[in-house]
Formats: sequence, C-alpha cells, structure tokens
Amino acid sequence: MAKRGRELVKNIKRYRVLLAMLLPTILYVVIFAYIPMGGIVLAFKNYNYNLGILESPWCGLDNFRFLFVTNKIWKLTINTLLYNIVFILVGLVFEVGFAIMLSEIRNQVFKKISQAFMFLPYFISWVVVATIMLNIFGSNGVLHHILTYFGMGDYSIYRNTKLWPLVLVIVKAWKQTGYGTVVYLAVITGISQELYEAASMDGATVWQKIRHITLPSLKPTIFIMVLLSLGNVFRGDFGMFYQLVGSNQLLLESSDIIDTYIYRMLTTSPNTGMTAAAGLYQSILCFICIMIANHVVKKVDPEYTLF
Amino acid sequence: MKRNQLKRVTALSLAAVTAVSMVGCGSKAATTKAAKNYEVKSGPYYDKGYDLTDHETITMYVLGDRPEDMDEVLEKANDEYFGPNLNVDLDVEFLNWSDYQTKYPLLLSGGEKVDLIYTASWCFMNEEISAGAFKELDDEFLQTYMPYTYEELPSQAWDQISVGGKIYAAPKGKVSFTNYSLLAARADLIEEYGLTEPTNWENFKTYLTELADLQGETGVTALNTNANREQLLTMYEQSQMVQNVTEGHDFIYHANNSEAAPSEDDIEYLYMSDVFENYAEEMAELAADGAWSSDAINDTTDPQSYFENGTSGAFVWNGTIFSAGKNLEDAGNGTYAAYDVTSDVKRSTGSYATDATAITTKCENPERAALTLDYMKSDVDLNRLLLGGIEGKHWKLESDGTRSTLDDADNYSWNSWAWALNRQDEPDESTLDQRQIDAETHNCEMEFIPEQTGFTFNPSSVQDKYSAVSAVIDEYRQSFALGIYGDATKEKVEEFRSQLKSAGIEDVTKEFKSQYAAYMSAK
Repeated sequence: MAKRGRELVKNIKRYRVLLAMLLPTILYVVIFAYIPMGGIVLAFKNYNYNLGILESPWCGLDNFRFLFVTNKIWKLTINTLLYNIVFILVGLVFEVGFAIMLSEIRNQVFKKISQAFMFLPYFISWVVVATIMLNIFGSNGVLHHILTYFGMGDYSIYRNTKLWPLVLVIVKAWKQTGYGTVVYLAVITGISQELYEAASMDGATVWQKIRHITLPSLKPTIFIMVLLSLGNVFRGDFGMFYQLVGSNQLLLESSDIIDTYIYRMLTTSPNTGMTAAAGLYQSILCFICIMIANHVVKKVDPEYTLF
Repeated sequence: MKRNQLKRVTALSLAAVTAVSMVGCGSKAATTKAAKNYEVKSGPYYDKGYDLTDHETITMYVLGDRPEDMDEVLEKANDEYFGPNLNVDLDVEFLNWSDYQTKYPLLLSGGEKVDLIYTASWCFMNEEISAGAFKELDDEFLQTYMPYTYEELPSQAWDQISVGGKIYAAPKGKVSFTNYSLLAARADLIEEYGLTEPTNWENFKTYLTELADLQGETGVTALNTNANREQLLTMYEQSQMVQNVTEGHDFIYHANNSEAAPSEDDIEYLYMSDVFENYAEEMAELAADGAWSSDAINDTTDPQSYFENGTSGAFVWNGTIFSAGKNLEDAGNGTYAAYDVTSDVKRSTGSYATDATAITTKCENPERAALTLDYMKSDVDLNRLLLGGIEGKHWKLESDGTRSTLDDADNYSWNSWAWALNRQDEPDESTLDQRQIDAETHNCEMEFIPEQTGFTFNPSSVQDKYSAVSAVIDEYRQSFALGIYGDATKEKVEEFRSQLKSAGIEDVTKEFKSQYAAYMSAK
C-alpha cells in the first residue's frame, strides 16, 4: 500500500507538467458538467426557494407529467432525432467535402478568401438569418420581385410548407459548414506529404489520392466527430427553429422539435422542477443514443470508439 | 531542454489562466462605497417605534434599461431622503427587456442579494409565490411597516393583488385603461383617397380593405403587423361586448355593459367559444383581402415602428397609439386620427396587480425593506424624484399642476422603470395631445368595475395541464390572428380545440370555475 502511494507521488511528480496542462479541462468539466448534475434532483422535487434544493419536498414523477399530458412529445422526439441525424449526415458530407476541396486549392489567396466566406455565416445570429430569409424569400422579398418582373407570378417560401424540412437542412448546412470544415482541414494538413508524393510518383490521380490517402486518414476524426454529435441528437437547435419557424403553425406541423415545444409550455409559467425534468428527459435519450452508437462502433472497429 | 521549458511555461500559463478565470466563480466583491451611518432624528418614520440604528443597503430589482442619470438621482435620493430618514441606502438594479425572462427566476433562486423586486401578474408573480420567493405581507405587517401605503391605496388595489386571499406584493397606486384597445388610423390617407372612416368595427374592416386595394399606389400596408403582437383580438372582443373574468387568463363572458358578476355557466374559455371562432374567420377574410402581408406570421419587426415609419395604415393598442401617432407626425411620414372603434362599450381599467413590488423571502431585513418601499410610494417629492428625476434638471412642474420635460429628460425619462411606485397624484404631461385628452376623458366616462374584480386564478393545482394548454395556444394563436389558414379556418379551429381538449383544457376550466365560485361565495 505504502509502495503504491509512493509510486503515485512519484508519478505525479514525473508527469506534473502534463497534469498541469490537463488541469484546466478537468476543472472546466467538474465545475460546468459534474457539479450541475446534482441539479437533476430538482426534476423530482417541488422546488421551493426557501427550503432549498435538499429540503424541498419530493414529488415523484409529477414534474414529468406535463411532458406526457398530450402524446405530442413522442412525435417531437422523433422529429428532433430525424432532423439531427440529417443535419449530422449532411454536415459531414459538406464539411469533409469542402475541407478536401480547400486542401486541393493551390492558389493561397483564393483559398483564404473562400475559407473566410465559408466561415462568415457561422457568425451571423439566427435572428439576422431569419430576417435575411424573410427579405429574400418572403412575399415582399427579392426573389418575389425578380419572379414578378419576369412574369412568373408571386412566390413565398413561407407558403410552401412542404419545402421546410429541406429549407432547414440547407440553411443549417450553409451556416455550419465553414466552422465544421476547420477540424477536417487541420487533419488533412497533418497528413504526411510523403504519402501524396509517393502516390503521385506511382501515377495516382487526384481522385485516387483523395480516396486512398485523404479519406482513410480522416476516418478516425470522422468517427469521433459523429459520435460527439450523437451525444446531442435529442437536443434541437432552438435558436434556428425558433427564429426561422416562429409562430407559423403551418410550418410547425413539420418543423416542431422538443426544445421549441418545451419553450412554448414553460415560457408563460416557468417552473424549475419541470424545466429540470425536460432537460433530464433529453439527457437520458442522448445518453442511451451515445451508448448504443459507441457499442456499435466498438463492434465494427474498437480503435474508433470514444470510450 | 528548450522544449521542456516551453512545455512548463505553457502548463503554468494554462494553470494561471484557469485560476484567474475561476476567480469569477467566487462571490461578488463588495464594490459599494462605505455606507454612512445616519442617526434618524426626524421625518415620517422618526419616533414611531422602528429600530433604525443599524445602517442597511436595500437592493431593488426592476425591469428596463438603466437611465443614464440613474446614479445621480440615486445619490440625491439616498443623501436627502433614505439616509437621514431611514438610515438606508437604496441600490436599484435593472433587468433588461431582452433577457429578463431568463434572469428573473434565476435571480430569485440564486444567491444574489435581492430585497425588493418588481413583479406583476404578467411577470412571474403566481409562479414565484408558489416557489416561495416572496414574503407574505399580512395585515399586521402592512399596517406596521407600510403604514402610509396601507392607508393610501384603495381596498380594490389590495383585493386585486391578493393571491388565494393572501398578499405578497404592494401594488401600484394608479391604474389606467391599459387593456382597452384604441385605433390610430392615417388621417392623411383617409382625406386623400376618400376612405371610409373607421368609426366602428365594420367600418374599420372596410377601411382596411379599401387601403389594401390601394397598396400598389400608396405603398402602405393596411395593417402592417407581425407575429409578436395580436393587434385585433381585444378590439374584436370589445365589439362583441365580451370581458375577461380576470386579467391574464383567457376566460370570458358576455358582459354587455353590465357590472354584474357572471354566473359560472356564463364563463367560457375564449378559444373554445363562438366568439373566437367568428374572430378567426373574420381574420382569415381580412388576410385574404390583403390587409396585411401573408408573411406577417414570420415577421418580427415591431408593428409600432411600421406605423411610425408610415408603412402601416393602422395601429391598434392602448394609449400608446398616441405616442406612435406623434412619432409618425414628427417624422413627417403622415398624419393620424385616433378612433375609439367601440365607443359605446364600457371598459375597465387595468388591474392594480399589473405592476407591483414584492419583498423577497431571502431579504435579511424585510421590515426595513418594507419601510423603504413605503417611503418611495408615499412621499410625493421622493416619489417624483424616482419617477422623473431631478426637478429643474429633468422635468419642471408647471403652475397648472402638469409637468413639462427639460433638456436632460433624455437621460432620465419620466416613469421609465418605476411603474410599480406610481401614485394617484402623478402629474400629467403638460403637452398632452387634445386627441389623447379626449380619449382619456371618454375612457373615464365609460369606466366600469365588475363585481368579480379582485378575483385571481391560481393554476398551480393543474400546472401540468395548464402548461400543455399554453403550448397548444402558443402554437396556433398567431396563425389564427393573422388568418393564415384561409378557407380551412373552420377545420383548423376544430383541430385546435381537439388539441386543447387533449391537453386538458376541460380540467383547467373546471378548476378556474371552482376557484371563481369559492371567491364569489366568500365575497
């Protein structure tokens, strides 16, 4: 025992620099992820400020009841899941695709400009995106005026409700691609140039190099990024859905998600316990999802798992 | 070696950055200046048995943006009023409109020092009372620690603020007709194109339709509105002589200008009633006629600014229409005329519970907080200082008892945050428009006080269903208000109602009626 203790002290001393580098992350995760987890208890309590978290009376599953009063939550859970899966897949194709394209551009000035333009939408808030969309695709928008000029009748995307799932996917991809590309671009930059040179000497075309060198090198990153995204697959992008869809009930029929629904429920009568219950419901689903995904990946190739 | 050093430097810097960032997690450092301890020797609270020996800082939270001259006003209030008369320093903190909905509940559940806080029937009052955030103010406490306010406020005010027979906040001292909708229409367009004058509901709809037909020529949308404000519902209810049983909840009855309390059977849930169905159909007709843009449902621009910039032919709201009209005229974008579309309908003032101040349960010295609140509400000079700033700098009292604004008024505009502190004798603005004076006079002539005034509904026993109903309403309400369903409106109303039923509206209605019956029989 004493020997093990000495070993530990020795190891801490030996790896002090590495441990110090790890410290910020550990503190961040403990403070912002582990400690708040204690708040889960609120989901099962009738929270009273005077009594505090621990002393407030237990209320069983009462706080969860509001979610299931109507059967809507199941449909919204499926909506949220499907939207997120499509966002992840489309995002993946665009991000990897554009990262590869950017890495193949030889003109540095053009490359930087393209990257900057791709990155720009990431910094535009959803409120502004919603206004831009209204002014381009709305019934008084630019598109409408152009079409009217050419005698092609009036057009508004807000009346074409069937298109909305597609609209949301496109807008999300437009906003997200630039940011997502950075990670893959960094990995591509790290691939040894010798591999490409050797392939060139063997007469490989650009496509062959991408298929046999770039994509296999990106594989571990792709797996990790997808697994991390699956951890949030039951949490919708509230900002996007709330701003773009708003109170338009016709659009809500196909574009309502858990987050906007809970917002509508609790915005008029906020309740700490119910909010905690809704958060826990989403967390449990995300947890189950990531465990299954990780398990599947482990079966396919244990090297690519998260844990 | 160099590499090792680099590693160490990096590690140490990272650790240092972490340590520095964690400092922010600690408790808030005391930044207030050393408080001066006063010996209270005179004033309204001197020699009345209050223990004022220890100096206290009372922190009050209100909604709105901090006026530029707030510090100067507070310094004067503390030096001349709170300090010498209560041995108190008042600190006022602001919750911005943009994020008060998130911050407000956090503030009360978290560890911040909050002694007094603004609340209202629309600003979390019922929810925070259920969560135990506000101190109950029983009769004895009020008479002892808010003696002047207790005397001054009418009993109606205390009735309206009570929840379940108990009082948790001190209401404002003056109410106006904030729930009654008036119309500002474009006088210049009416004259130029010979449009129908919107003197009643039917004429108003004709006016909107005529204006919509002229949109290509005028560039003005008949009612340029958006997804955030339901402009016509209240006015439609007025036209049907329908009143809400109590403010803030969608239970209605046909009052027909009578002050008699409705029987339980007369009470209907708005969205299940014929009134709503007819309203939805009329809105669909107006939408089809082009009264507003078909994309209004996805627009979030404030409709008041549409009227002010001249792109809307109408603006419907309470007395705010006059300032919107003034801004329209000042900017040279047109002229306006104000209409009371339902001028023969009786109207009630907004409830006293629309603005109030509560003492929090975590307040360490609720007695002194109550005295501070009492002083702010009862002393005319202090009250006007807080409402309008420094007399002679921000505003001036005219000989006829009205107030006029001075150059510095932009840095502290009248009553920009202290709505819950206002008094019955608050001076009117000297430059009130004649149209506004006429409208207010008519409002007073037509005032009615229904018998059930004072009844409030506490939905906590059906909270899950109440929340589910809220979600359904939020999903559909604006879509009906902007008539987006066209010919399918009737079917959509049915769909909406079946969703309300599955969310539990029948149980909520039953609970509402039972609380109402209990209130009325106790009365």
